[in-house]
Amino acid sequence: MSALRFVLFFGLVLLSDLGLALEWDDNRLSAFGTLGLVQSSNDVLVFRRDVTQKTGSSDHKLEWANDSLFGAQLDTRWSDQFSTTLQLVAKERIHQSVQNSVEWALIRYRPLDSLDIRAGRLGTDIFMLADYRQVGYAYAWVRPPQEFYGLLSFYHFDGMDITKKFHFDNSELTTKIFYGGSHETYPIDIDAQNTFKLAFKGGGFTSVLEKNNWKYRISYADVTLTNNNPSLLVDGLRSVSALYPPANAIAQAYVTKNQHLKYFEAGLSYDNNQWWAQAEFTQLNSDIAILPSAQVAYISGGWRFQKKSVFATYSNIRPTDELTHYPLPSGLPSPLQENISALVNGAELGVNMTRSDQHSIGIGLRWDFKPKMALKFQVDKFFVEDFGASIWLKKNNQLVTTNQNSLVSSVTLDFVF
Amino acid sequence: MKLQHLIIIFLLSFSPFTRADILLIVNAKNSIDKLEKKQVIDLYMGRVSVYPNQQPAQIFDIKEGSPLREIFYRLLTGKTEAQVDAYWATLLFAGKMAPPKQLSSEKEVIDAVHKNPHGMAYVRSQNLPTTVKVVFEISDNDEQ
Repeated sequence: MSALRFVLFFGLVLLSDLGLALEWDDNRLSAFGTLGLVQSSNDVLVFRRDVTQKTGSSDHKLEWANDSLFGAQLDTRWSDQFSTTLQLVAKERIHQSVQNSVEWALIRYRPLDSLDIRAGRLGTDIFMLADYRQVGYAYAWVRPPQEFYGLLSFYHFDGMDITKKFHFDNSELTTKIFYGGSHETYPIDIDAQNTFKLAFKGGGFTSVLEKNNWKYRISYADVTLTNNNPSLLVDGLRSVSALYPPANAIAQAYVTKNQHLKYFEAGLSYDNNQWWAQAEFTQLNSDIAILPSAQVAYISGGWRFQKKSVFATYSNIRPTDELTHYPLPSGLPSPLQENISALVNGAELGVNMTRSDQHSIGIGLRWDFKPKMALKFQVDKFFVEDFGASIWLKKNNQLVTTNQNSLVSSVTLDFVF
Repeated sequence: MKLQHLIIIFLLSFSPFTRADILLIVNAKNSIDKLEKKQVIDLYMGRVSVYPNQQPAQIFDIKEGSPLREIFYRLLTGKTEAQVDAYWATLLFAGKMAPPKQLSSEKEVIDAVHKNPHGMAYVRSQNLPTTVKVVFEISDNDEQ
């Protein structure tokens, strides 16, 4: 956070030194928001929009906290080349603070029309909707597909990016490279009695080709985790490794520090103003057993008529690897054998419970009943496999390892101004 | 009316220059005299922020809910106002680009272009002051 503050402070000092007279005309205040209600039928799984959320709906309980939010943004144009953007988003969070509410805080330098250099707190663009996933008004669905955007809940990072646009006769190529760091705290259980923190550092690129009604995109990111989370389980395993050597390797499954995560994403969209279709695929490769490698994809399409739009979506997330099985000790005296077995079983369960293995189908309707406002209805059926529910919380924090279904109904009112 | 006059009027009615419904105007001092449709679209959709001569562009829009705005975007891009607003939300709230400034009336945008050497706006076909000039015309026949 101090690097961010430095960049912003330095930038603002620089700009004010340039003696630029700032009029209100050069300031623009805008806002976006969503009022949402969601209801999930399953009585042991708790539905949430993404894995940063500590509460959600289960057993038909109506929940507003998952999709409701309000964002305000101040854009200031300091000169033809320099501008700044500050965006704050108010929503349900584990730790509420003004600092945590800052979504973007950036300085943009545009030396040429086709070149943008930004520094501060930025979005990554590594997924199609990455930078506007919280702006419901910008897309047809009630929320971006949960399998895809629920797990990959990377909102912003502190660092810099460079974007270059290439204009051709009937197409446009935009390429961005970025580098920076980020951290996020995730709830392990309902109301975040226990949490898990991940800090990342890394970079990547995104390339988007727009031609006629088509958009083609690829992006790649490679991040290193820079922290570990304290774990009694890991301590316990290491302490018995002299008696049972495999315990060390098992403990390693929980180590995140200095481990790598790599994302590769490809996406496609088509929109001829009448109907649209969109698909994304991500391959997540991880060195870390508790952040397992996975393939994620979705495809969606819709039809617009008058002020309404109907759409349907299929999405899927699948772990790359089979369930983990650790060998149990044998030939050790009681109660040592039972105690070590308990640790090993606990570790195995812990790793398997981090898997996301589910798919869903959904249909919905969006109605643009007023300028800059939209009402949306959506129904999704989720099919979650054994040991596949890590995107969901568990009611009463119980253990859920068997396959589950849920019918999730949602309604949102989205607006911008 | 003489027959020749009637024939001329009849023939003129096919000329694109008498059927323009919307005019794109810039400041008379702007060195740009003419823009192509793609260039107008790129400017109004934020794909570029400069004129073809690399001079900065200050684009003006009309307030949403106005019939002129709805027709303008439909004829230029084929999109409804809601689609245009949703499109801009993906750029504005991503910290990438801000949409054109919206003014309440045609009179205000003409005034803004008159005052701003980099300004550009769209208005219905009408007599315009000499401080602004037309660089592109959209007619009802141009429906996407």
